[in-house]
Formats: sequence, structure tokens, C-alpha cells
Amino acid sequence: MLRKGGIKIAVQKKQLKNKFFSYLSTIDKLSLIGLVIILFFIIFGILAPFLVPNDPIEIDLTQRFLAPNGEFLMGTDHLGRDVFSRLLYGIRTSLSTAFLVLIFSMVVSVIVGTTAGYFGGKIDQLVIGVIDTLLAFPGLVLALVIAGLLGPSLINLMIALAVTHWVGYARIIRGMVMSIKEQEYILAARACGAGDLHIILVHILPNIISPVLVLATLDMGYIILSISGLSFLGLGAQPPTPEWGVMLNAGRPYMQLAPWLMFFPGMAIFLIVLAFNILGDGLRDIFDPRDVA
Amino acid sequence: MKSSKNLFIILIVISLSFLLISGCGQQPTDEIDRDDLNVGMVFEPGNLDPAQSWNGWFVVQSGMGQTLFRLDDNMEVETWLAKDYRQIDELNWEIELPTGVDFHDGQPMDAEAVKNSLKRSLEVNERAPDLLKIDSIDILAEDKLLITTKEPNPALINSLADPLTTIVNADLAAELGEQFAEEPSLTGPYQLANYQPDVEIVVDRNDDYWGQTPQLKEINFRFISDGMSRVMAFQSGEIDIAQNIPTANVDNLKQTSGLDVLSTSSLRVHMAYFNLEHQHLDSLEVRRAIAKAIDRKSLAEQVMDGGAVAGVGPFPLALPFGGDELDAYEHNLDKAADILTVAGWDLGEDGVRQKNGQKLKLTLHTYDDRPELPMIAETMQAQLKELGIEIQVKSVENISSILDEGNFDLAIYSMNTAPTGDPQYFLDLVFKSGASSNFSNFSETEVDQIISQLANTFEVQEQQRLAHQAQERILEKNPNLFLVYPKVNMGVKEGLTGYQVHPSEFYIIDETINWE
Repeated sequence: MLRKGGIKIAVQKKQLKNKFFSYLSTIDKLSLIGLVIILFFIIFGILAPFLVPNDPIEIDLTQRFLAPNGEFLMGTDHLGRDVFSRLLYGIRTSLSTAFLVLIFSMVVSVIVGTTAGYFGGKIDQLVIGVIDTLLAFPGLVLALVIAGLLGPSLINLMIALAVTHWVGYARIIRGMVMSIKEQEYILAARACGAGDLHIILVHILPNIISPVLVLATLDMGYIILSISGLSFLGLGAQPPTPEWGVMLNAGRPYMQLAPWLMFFPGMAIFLIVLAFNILGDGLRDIFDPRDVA
Repeated sequence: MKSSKNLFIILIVISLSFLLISGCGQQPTDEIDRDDLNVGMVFEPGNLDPAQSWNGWFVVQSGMGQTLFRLDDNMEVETWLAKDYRQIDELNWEIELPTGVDFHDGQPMDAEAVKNSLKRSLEVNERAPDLLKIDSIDILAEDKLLITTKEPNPALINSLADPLTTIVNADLAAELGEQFAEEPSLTGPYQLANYQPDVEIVVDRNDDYWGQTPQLKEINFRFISDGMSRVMAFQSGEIDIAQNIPTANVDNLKQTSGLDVLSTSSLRVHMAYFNLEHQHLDSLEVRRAIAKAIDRKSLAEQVMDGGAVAGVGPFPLALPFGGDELDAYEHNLDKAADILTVAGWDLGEDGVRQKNGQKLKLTLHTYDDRPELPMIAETMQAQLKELGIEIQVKSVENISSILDEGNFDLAIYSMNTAPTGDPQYFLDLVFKSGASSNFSNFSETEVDQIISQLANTFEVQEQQRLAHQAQERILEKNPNLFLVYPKVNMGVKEGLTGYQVHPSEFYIIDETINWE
């Protein structure tokens, strides 16, 4: 019985995979552009150590405020560092931080959301109470407070964002689980004697994965913005770590003297957030039939 | 899908319009037919009681409050509210007051009022007793006071120029209690019209002013702590005077027609405190090596765009007892490295020096109220990295609380070293054992002795010699890094006359300020 179920899942998985690629071909062009931009950023980020023309951290006070030129593609900053190199390393900081926050939020919210949604009753009441309380605070402000209390560092920033971020997902996942668990096939599985864990892992999780993925993609932009925003305020990455928000803040006193100090990091944030948002939109059109109509 | 396309278009339009806006310059206006003035200040006073903490600075800067004596452009004392003074002997000073000076509430400022005001400053302000050392004040006549000090205080007259001694109507203060801090009664050419904490302070003309009649009807003070915001408010014409322009913007503003920036060497030092209780920083070698590894010249000329002079000792070179002839910590990375190696700190494989398994890792606290400080911190971080010291920079909102709690390894701070033109003040405040701003917890008997000797010296040459000697001892023990002496830059709209740009930073507005 169980073995049979296993085969069935494998088939389902394969179908899902095929479906995914066939969906990809139906994805609209705009979202494809988003995907391409994101891939570009990721590749540049991974290859940053090989691509950067100059050390992103080394200070050279004889080369301050050089306008963009052949040697320094995006000019140099107030301490004579190469903006282009810092921008490339900034991809690593921003994307990896955002990714970790996202993964943490996802894992916690999937566990909490499914437990609450599936078992209901007192557990559900408790969880929803916590979620509603946390949601009553404005997320970014709460993150600001937590990051402020823990002290300025990138790790603390990640903790602050993750702590405030999982609640939104947990609520949505709980809702989805609640509606799925009323479906006939869940009843059927239960009638066949399947345990709770089996039902959750095999029958419920695969059904919520794609909407959660869409949610995550859409949210990635928001997380990147939050990281840059909090770093801009001095709560995140600390010097000399190259990070876009920090670069923006450092360039601010020279806004009129050397506009490239703010222009390029600002553009980078703008592009990556836009790319994640349009990709998320496209994915939603595919995976969430309710919206397509 | 459609919505995402729209979103894309909207975003592009928004980003393009930002580009367009950023390309626009502002148009300075020519017409000067005004009798008001807007001033952008950096720090807002906690309230307007000049006797409390540092509030007196704003009270005097704004033209509301005045002291018995003031400092001229060469930092020499001249009379202000007082008419004359005479030193009788080491402990006794006679101060003569003018007649016809009234407080804003109409009460006359006579000998009794001055006595009560000074006594109030001594009670309220914790810095006052050490600064003034006053034992008793006696009224000799309606216009004559006798001040007796507990011990000889050669700097008494200079100290009476410190804004914390601003003359207030102390009787009214006693009557009003805490409310006095929101409606003080003072003697200056401008009086308080509207006080909204955190928003603005408005003063208007004191028609009964004892001196020349003030010209402007109304002056608004706004508090813009962020340097760039202050620059932009100045460019847009929102403020006519901008205190403390970040050096990077000075050239740009000077080239803008209608705007000007005035610079003067200040009496300020940007320095870093070592926490002498830190397990590694209690070692003189480590402190010396750090002092030698910092390139002060590049901090002054490059990081601060020439808006500062490289630091030597505690006092700026502009002062007669400034550290021209002191043995400076010259920038020499090799020597710094030697010092550390001899002291047993060896370079590890990760480029960080270590001794007995402990790495030489330190934190460096800084704050953004003065925008150059985080940059100085970052440059120090890079310079010390070359020496094999790993520095973690922490930029905090409230540096004072960090310093008070002693919760730091190294902390950058900026202080005015001689607001009253006297060496005693700063040495007393920062380097005496247990002094209120001695955040390093520096304690050296010899330095304490020199400081108390200085307090008993009336002869100027001897004072300078002792100040010099104290600085030598301090540099030897190196409890602080003296980084740079910044200049004061004040943005002023063209057509304005009579404002003050003073090294002490005490004075901005007086009765002569006016539009041409």
C-alpha cells in the first residue's frame, strides 16, 4: 500500500516537473526578463571574486571621487574604493542575506502553519493568537526595534527580519491547509489508514508548495528592500562590508558632488526588486488559476 | 499580467522623473527686503534654561542670553554685560556692572540679580563649581560685586564667558520653577517668542534692549541634525544660516551664487578614547602602536577634504598652548609593527596579530551627527588592518551613553577644547582622575599635579608652560588618540551682515545681524 503510494508520488512529482517546464514556456515575456535579470545578478554575485577589477574593501585616499571611467566603471567612492567592485560584492551580501531570511521564514511558517491548520483546536487558537499579535505591529518597525535592541550587525538584521517575517506566510499556509484538509482525497487517504504525518507530507505539502513559492518570489523583493533600508539606517551591514544600503547611505553626503555614489547602488536595488516582483507576478498568473481569469 | 505591465511602466516613469528632478538646480532670489531670518542648527537644546547641561550654548548663540564677559575673535576676554573688572588679590575679584540693563520681563539687572544668577548656575550646573571655584559673592554697591574664590582661579574672568553663566532673572526662575526652562527671562537683543520642543524656536526683537537696537523682527531656529538635509535646506532657501556644513559640500556651495560658506579654525578636536580598562588597551605598547599607525594627515587632508588640520596633542594649533612643539605620534607603520612585535603580538596567518592565543580585535564606536566621523572610523579601520589589528566599526545613535557606561574599546568623540580660551577647562574635564568626561578612566598622579598647579598660576607664560607640560605627559601615556582639528564651516546667504563665526562656537546672532 505504502509502496504503491510512493510510486504514485514519484509519478506526480515527474508530472509536476514537466508541468513546471511547460509552464515556463507559457510564462509571459516580461516575467522572463525578470528571470533573466535575477539570473544575471546571481551569476555575477557568485563569480564576483573573479570579476571584480579592484579590491572592494581596500581604501586608496589618492583616488577619491573619480567619475566613472575605463578603469573604474562606476567611479570611486569617498574613500577611493571602486564602486563597481563593491556593487558586485554587494550582490552577495544582499541576495544571500535575503535568501537566508526567506528560507528561515519559510521553514518556520510551513511547520507552524501546517500544524495549526491541520490539527486545529487549541493549537490553532494559540498559533493564530501569536500570529495576530505579531501582525498587529508594522513589520518593518518591529524589525527596526529588534535590530536596534540587538545592536547593529548583519546577523542581527537577519534575525530581526526573520522573526517578523514568518508570521505572514504562516497565516496564509494555515488557511490553505485548512481548505485542503477538507478535500475528499484527504478523507480517502485517512480512510485507508494513513497517519497524520503521512497525510501532511505526502498529500498536503505538495499542494501548498507552488503557491508558497510564488509568495516567496514576490516577497524576495520586499526582503531585499528591507535589508537595504535597515542597512541604510545603519542597523545592518557594518563597514567595510559592501552592501547596497550602506553604499547609499555613505554616498548621501556627496549626493551633489558625486551622484554616481548613490545612482548605481540605487539602480541595483531598483532592478533586482523589480525583477523579483515581475517574476513573482508571472508565476502567480501560472500557479494561481483564480487570478488568471 | 496586465497589472504587472502597468506597474512596470509606472516604475519607469517614476524613476525617470526622479532623474529629471535631480538635474534641477535651485534659483537663489535676489530681493532682500526682509526683517526675518531662518537659522538651521545641528543640536537642539534640551530646554532653554542656560544653567542646565549645555543649553547655554544655544541660548547665547540665539542672541537671547548674554554673559558678563565675552571672547573676541582672538579668544581674548572683553566685557559684555559687565562694565569693568579688577583683580584685588589672588582670591578676590571686583566686578562693576552697568546701569540700565533690564531683563526681558522688565526687571533691572542689578548686582543682586547677577549674584543670584551666578549662584543659581553654581547650584544647577555640575560643571560650574569646578569651572568657577566661587566661594562667595558679595554686593558692594548696586553696581558692584565682589567675587571670592575658594582657591586661586586665574581663569575666573574667562570662565564667566562660558554660556552656563548666562545671566538670568533668578528670582523669576525661583518663582516659575520648571516652567522657567520654557520661558526664560534673559538680557539679550532677542527674546523668546515661541518655543515648540522638537519643532522650532522663534525669537523676536527685544525693543528695550540695552545696547544698539536690534534690526531683525523675528528669527526662526530649526534643528536639522542630518548634514545633507541641512545643506539642501540651505540651497533651497529654507534657511539663511546653516550651522556646520559638511566639508565635502563647501566648494559646491561657495560656487552657488547667493550662497557663501565661512570657515574658521575651531577649538575643537576629533579624538578617540581608549578604554584603559580593556584587557589589551591597558598596555601602553598597544596604544602607542595604534597611535603610530593612524595617518592623521590623510584624515585631515583627504577624508575631511582639507577641512581640518592633522592632530598632535589635545589642543588645536590655533591656541597659544596648542601642540606645535609637542612630540607627535608620527605616522610610521613599520615602527608601529615593531612595537607590537616586541610586545609579543605576532602576526597570525589570518593577518590578525595575536598573543597567548588571543587576537587583537577591537571595536570602534562612532556616531553620525558629525558626518565625517564614520568616515574617519572607516579609514582608521583600514589603517589599523595594515598593522594587523581587526577593528569592528559600530555607528551608534547615542555615543554619550556608551561613553558613560564605559561600554567600548575605542570611541570617537568630538569636543571643544577651550571654549573660554583657557587650557584649564579641557584638562580638568578630560584628563584629571575621575573627571566627568574622563571616559578612558585615565589616572596619572603627575598629570593631576600639573593640572592643580595650573589652577594656581596667574602668569600667562607660566600657564602655557604648564599646559605644554601636561600635554607632554598625556601624550606619553596616550589615553586618547588626537585625530584632527576640524574647521567650523557656516553657510550664510549673501546679503546678511553682522553674524558671528567664532572659534568658540558660542556666538552666532547678536544685535548687529541684518540684511544689507
